[in-house]
Amino acid sequence: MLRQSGASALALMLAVASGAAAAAEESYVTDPAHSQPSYEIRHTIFSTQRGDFLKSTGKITIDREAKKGSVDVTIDTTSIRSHDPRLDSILKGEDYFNVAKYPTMNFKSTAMRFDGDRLTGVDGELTMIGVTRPVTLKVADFQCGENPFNKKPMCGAEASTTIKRSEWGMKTGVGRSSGDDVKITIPIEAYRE
Amino acid sequence: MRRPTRSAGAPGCRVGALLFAVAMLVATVGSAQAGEAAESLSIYRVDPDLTSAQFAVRHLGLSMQRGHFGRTRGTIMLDSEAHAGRIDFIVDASSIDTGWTARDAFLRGEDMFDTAHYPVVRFRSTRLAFDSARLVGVSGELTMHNVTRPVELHVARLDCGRDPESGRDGCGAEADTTIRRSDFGMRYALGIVGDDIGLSFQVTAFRVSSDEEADQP
Repeated sequence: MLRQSGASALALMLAVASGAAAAAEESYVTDPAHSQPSYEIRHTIFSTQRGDFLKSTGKITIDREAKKGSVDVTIDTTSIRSHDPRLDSILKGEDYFNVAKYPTMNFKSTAMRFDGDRLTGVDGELTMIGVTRPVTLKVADFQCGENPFNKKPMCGAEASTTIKRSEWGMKTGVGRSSGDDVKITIPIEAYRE
Repeated sequence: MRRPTRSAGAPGCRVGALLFAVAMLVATVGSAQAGEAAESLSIYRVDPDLTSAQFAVRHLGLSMQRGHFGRTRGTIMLDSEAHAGRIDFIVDASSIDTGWTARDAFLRGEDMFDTAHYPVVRFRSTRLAFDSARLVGVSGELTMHNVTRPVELHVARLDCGRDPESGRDGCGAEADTTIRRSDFGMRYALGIVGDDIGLSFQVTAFRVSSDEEADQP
């Protein structure tokens, strides 16, 4: 956690950074503590259930001039936490993530979408419980700057998508106790390598 | 998703809860038409296991960080005919959970929630707004960090009916609002950690009789 106060430094660094696009490809690595994927799913008729994955790693390359890049995010499925701790072992079990057999899930990009030099979306493939399917991540709020304390260049964004879990073969409870649609949201803070 | 059997709730302050329930009942019925009001009044108790109080705040101006409070409780009273009701929702501030122990400790500390002195965050409704029969908003007062301020909750969804799993009557609701933490005297590291805090509540509450309600914390 950043303990020091330095609000004006932040405003300044963002103002500077939002100017010129980078000249070539840059590589970034996500900061896991500020890039925790979360999910939402409807449960029965009443509630939306939320949870998150505590552990993930991500590598991003981006060339804003050429409007190209790549994203590779791996989520540790054993780190799933529903907000109801009684559910965690069920979600890790065979009917859902089957973490003993599939300890990770992975998203790899196939193409990046830009609006000007701003990243707005990533097409790719999500591999989950042994099944690979195409997914498009919407990217909102993409911006780059510098950490005001350690001065490291970094980018931030929010990636989100909604998938149908049944397409990956995760069908338990669909249409009975819980929904098929799962909304996934991943805040991103990534430091330049 | 499939769920294990619900565990018993924690024992609580029976006398306080009873007084609260009676006060709420009197207040709610008093505000409605006499006679049939009691018939149409339903009391729901928040199910903490199926309820989520989430917050979102910008970090470094670059990303939206989220966390939640793991322990909530509360009572919702709705009079479907009089279009009136009361909501009392309590969050255990020390149950703040961002998935990072050091950050949680910082948030519980003196610079932020100071949970040693201010252990709960509480929302109490003052008025429920209906669009015909649909609850669309709740005006109320939020007490946090020893400061009480008016807050308007936007109600995105309220579905009531019978839970197919448990057979119990209940309601599910989604409500949200945005507050400024500086309004509540939480000014630490403004600019690094944003001032605007998005609050999002996913609430599941099951119907109880007033007798049952008195037995709960």
